[in-house]
Amino acid sequence: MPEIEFTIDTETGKCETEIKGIQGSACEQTARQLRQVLGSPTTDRKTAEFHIKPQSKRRVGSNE
Amino acid sequence: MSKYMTFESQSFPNRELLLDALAECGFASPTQGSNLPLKGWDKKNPQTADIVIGRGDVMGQSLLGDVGFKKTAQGYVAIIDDMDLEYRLGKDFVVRLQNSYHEASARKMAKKLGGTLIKERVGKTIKIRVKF
Repeated sequence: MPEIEFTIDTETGKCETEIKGIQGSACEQTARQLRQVLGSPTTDRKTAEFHIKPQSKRRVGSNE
Repeated sequence: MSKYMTFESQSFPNRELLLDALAECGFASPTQGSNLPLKGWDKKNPQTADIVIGRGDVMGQSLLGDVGFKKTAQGYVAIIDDMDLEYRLGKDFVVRLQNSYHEASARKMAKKLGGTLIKERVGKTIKIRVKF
């Protein structure tokens, strides 16, 4: 199940967000919605999961 | 996980969420408008803002000047007299407002995505999970 985790440091007002369980452009869309409410982030990085592509299997035909 | 972002700015991009955050901090009915003059500021240094908390509307005590929020390209920025911040509102006023704003943002995202929200406080950290 996808989720967004907000971690708020109440002493500094800093807010870290992690978008989990969404890949590629769907993740970018959620990030855009976050930027609309929170403004420009000071840190913005994609994690390894962002780059995972859906697996596709090539069908190999038989020559026989 | 797939994306990580950090937000530290003391400007507030969304008017509705700023009003929610102000209400949570005890200022439920600020005046809204455009370039409203702030009372109590030096006439040599007049200030205007778009959201205004009257200097008499703060916790039963009178501030030296109105508290304002002015719209900029980055969002709404607070205009507060230094002395009021030091002796009446508290130095951490803007940080408290940021915290409330961030919580309001999480609630808005949960609503927008049709998700559920789980809030947990651990020491000085608030963790909010929005599952959708």
